[in-house]
Amino acid sequence: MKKEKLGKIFAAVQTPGRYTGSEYNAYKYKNERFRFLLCYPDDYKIGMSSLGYHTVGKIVSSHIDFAVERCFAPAPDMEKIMREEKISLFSLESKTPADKFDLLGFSVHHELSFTNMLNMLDLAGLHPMRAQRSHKDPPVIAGGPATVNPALLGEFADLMVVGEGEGIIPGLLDRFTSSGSKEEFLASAAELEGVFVSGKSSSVRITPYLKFDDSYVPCGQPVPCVSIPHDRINIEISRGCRGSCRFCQASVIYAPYRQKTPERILDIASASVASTGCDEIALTSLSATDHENIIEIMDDMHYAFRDLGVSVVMPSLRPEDFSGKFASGLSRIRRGGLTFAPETPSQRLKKIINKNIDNEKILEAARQASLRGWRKMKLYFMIGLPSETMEDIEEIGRFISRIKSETEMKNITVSLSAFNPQPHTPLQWVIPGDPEVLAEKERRIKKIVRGTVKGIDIQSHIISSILCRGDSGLGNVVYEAFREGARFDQWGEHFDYSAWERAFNKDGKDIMEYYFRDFSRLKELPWDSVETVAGKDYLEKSYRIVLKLIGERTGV
Amino acid sequence: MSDLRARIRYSKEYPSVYIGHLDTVRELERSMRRAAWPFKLTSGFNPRVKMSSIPPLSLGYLSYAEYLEVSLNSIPGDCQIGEFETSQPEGLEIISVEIIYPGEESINDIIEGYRYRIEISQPLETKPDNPAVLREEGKGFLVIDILKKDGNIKNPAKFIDQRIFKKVVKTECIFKSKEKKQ
Ligand code: SF4
Repeated sequence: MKKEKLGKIFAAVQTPGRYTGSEYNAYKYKNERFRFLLCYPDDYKIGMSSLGYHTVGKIVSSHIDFAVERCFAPAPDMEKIMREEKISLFSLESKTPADKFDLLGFSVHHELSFTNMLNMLDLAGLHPMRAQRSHKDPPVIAGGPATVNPALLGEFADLMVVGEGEGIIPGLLDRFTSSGSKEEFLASAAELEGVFVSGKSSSVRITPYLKFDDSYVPCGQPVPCVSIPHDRINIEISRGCRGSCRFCQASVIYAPYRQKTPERILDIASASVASTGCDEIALTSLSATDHENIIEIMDDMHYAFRDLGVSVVMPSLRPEDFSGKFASGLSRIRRGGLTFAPETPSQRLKKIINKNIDNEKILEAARQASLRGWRKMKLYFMIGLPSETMEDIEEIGRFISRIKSETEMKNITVSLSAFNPQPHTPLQWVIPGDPEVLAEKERRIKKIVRGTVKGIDIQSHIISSILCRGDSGLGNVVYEAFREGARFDQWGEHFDYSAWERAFNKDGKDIMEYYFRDFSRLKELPWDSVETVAGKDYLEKSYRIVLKLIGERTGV
Repeated sequence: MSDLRARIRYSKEYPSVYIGHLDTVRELERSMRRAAWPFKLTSGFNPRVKMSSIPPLSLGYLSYAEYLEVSLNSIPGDCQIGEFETSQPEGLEIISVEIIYPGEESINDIIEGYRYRIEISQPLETKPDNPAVLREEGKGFLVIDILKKDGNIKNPAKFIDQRIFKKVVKTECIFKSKEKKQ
């Protein structure tokens, strides 16, 4: 595409920096044999905030035969121009049409980005449905957390890298370089551990990457040229979680718990600051303060970077961190808000979901943090949990009132989410909460909580819940939803429930029937093809405990 | 301003013309950090680099005269300056790095106006109003100076119908003359 034409387009769209590809450290094509288009089916700002996305970029660009370029879902104003002017989806760096790449890789973090993935394929001139694409079209690979249910995603992607990509992608690229055709590549890829080839594979096992300390890290990643939500260096200091909350998919698919050494973490931080110049380092993990050397790491970071104006943030803190050995290290990290996810204040429900976060410890943390000058607090609660009653909901109001009266925390935000029975969790067999009851509970919380309450988009929850447990039979529905205009379904301002209703109707399916599907009656679940480290037996055992706990109360 | 400073003059060309002002300043700050510049930080719990820049350039305009001043603890070494100059994204280029000593006026105090070269699709119908001075009008282009008035330097689109603009380039800043300063 000519510079003049691009200039005209950039001048006509919002935040054109998302499409220029002019960032420092942007990828460069150096005549490698093959070209890989790294696609993120959401906006630039979300994709560029993703550590997983940058890590895949690093892995692929480290392969001698592959050049990487990036591509994100175009925002609606950009899509409009592209469709009007018949501009094909193009890479950010060289503005090469997507279908000219040898491989297309999508980093799929959420099922609500499926329609964006389909839209990107369509804009690339490729059919969004796998079965409709020809052997001449480039293979479409999907990776990321959404692959843990390959049944539905496999209707769009040719193959999926399931689980942790570090150990799988290099071998997969090797197979591509030695294959003469798409068919040969797919057949050969199906032999690899961690790869699920749609229409060929019957099972796949999630294999943890045990060389976690040495794993690829995206030092030298492209530096975003527009502000993005997580504009920082993310360092994954540990993977997995020692907890085992029964609704949590991440703790199952990223098991077992592993950590990086303090030396390695400091090396990564130094190399990343020197190669990006970012002013913030986030120590990311499902539970960062579980790291046995966390205090040493905080001290190292503080002394290494304080003169460069680099601050350190920890997105996940536990209430006990505010009084235990970690408390002194808190002055080393940037003071933001205090954030915890108790999910519920009800002791009974905590037992059911196995979330061991004590209300008294949250209160103590709020006290300690307010003594240190923190004034903002955000608490995440999940509603629609199995056997939840209105009395459990009332407890949320009482708990917030206690925090307000017993501590100096005056600015409290309650953020709600609806329980979603995710695949590979012990609660995967539970039927999600009735949307009308969820709405009633939400209304009640808004009434009783003195403070800001961030509510739930219940319609988006319905679709998300259906898709994450979806089977191949829903492929056509997602395709129809895309044709009906569904895009950016994770974004409240873009989500269009009516597009989904039309899509279900067209396919002769009932949305609510799918939402209330009783998976406990099924012997085989759509995602049983994926074997996790914990295994289905463990999930079943844990689920039986839940049934017992619920039964104890209800006498069932 | 009492700090030791570096006055950075840089240009903005395609595709960086589509990057907003704050994002550009952040980019420059990052490139200084990549080169480990000894910059001065603000005090407080979340220290920031002490910087000031001239008012924002409109999105889509090219410029050869953008300025940013950053406070320093000491003068960066040649290698640090060299690294800073060469580690810019596409479309941003460092034209000069000048050390300004404590007590000297800041860039915003000495700027009197901007000079623009504008490619136009049709001749001007009416001459721009004061404080915009038309210096030259050639075939398909014009050069105007826009001078500071009431502390502000306005955008060319305030004086000329921007529908005739094909390309706008800020070519230089107009500074106070030395005599005037005294
Ligand atoms: S919800 Fe948090 S604490 Fe619980 S298992 Fe998942 S990551 Fe661990």
